[in-house]
Amino acid sequence: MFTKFFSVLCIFTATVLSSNVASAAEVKFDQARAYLPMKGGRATASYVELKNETAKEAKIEVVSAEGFKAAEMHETFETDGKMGMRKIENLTLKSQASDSLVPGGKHIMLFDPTRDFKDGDTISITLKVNNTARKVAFKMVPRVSKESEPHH
Amino acid sequence: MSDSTLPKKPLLSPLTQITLISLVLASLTIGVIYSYLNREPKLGGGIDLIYRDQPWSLADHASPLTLFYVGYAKCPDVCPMTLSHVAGAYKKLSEDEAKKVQVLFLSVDFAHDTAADVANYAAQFHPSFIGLTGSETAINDTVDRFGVSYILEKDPKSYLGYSISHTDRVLILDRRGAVLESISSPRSSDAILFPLKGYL
Repeated sequence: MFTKFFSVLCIFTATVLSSNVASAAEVKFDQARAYLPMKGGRATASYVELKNETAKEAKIEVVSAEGFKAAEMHETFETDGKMGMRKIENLTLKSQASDSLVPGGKHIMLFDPTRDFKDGDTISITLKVNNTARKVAFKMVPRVSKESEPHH
Repeated sequence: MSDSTLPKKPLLSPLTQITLISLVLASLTIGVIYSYLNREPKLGGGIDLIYRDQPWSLADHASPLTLFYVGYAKCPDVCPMTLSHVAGAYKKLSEDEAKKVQVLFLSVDFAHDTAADVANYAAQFHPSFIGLTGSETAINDTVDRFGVSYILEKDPKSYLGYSISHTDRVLILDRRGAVLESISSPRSSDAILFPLKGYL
């Protein structure tokens, strides 16, 4: 009796765990990069390409960023000829939908670095995908490259 | 024969009259041209702000052309994106062309951006870029004169606690600070370079 109960419990636990892992794993994060913080500024921004390959809607939230005191999702908007920013709590991706966090659009703001970074470093930003924590590696890149064009 | 029948001799010879009229016309023309060249620009004008805790004036640092951008140093998205494009355009200029262009960045965040913050911030895009700040009054006078604007908004939900909405325009100024061209939200260095080249 105990063996049977234990087997059912194991199967149930494995099913729950695997469904959560699969759900998180199937939202893909590509080209994740964060700009190196600049002297004189307390905030920098990071960007990423998102694709929800799951069969259900995915809600994505920003929790924290390693090496920064705070991290938030923001979006840039234009009103009356002025560019502004506002915090957004999350973004939602429909099944099989894609979205991009890009300069001038939605982005992850990183506040008050707690250590120095250099070009090529990687930081871990913790996100929540449907309430499941997920760490995503973001590569640190300079604002202005040695070439003429900025990184995007 | 009486004196009245004698032809009157003109006071000035015809040559002298023509010379005088020419001089008057030339003076008037020069006066008009001088007034035109020194008129107050409809948009733009002087810039008197602070650079690294010292007074900084466009009149003292006149350059044939100036690229002027208004934002704030703690802006994480729009300002660095546009300043990156300005830097990209500047780097594409030849050495001789670059000598004729200076780049100014004005932070309107007088409450949070120190003179050192703004100067250091601007210089990271290119060592020659000048980051300016000033008193609230001086900043507001300047942005009004150049037809740009900003709004400081509290944002208690955000870690920073505030946000500044501002115009996203790169202005091309002549030596006196008159606005020659206003480039709205440039999203590439070429969007700045091509109009700039037209004035070089």
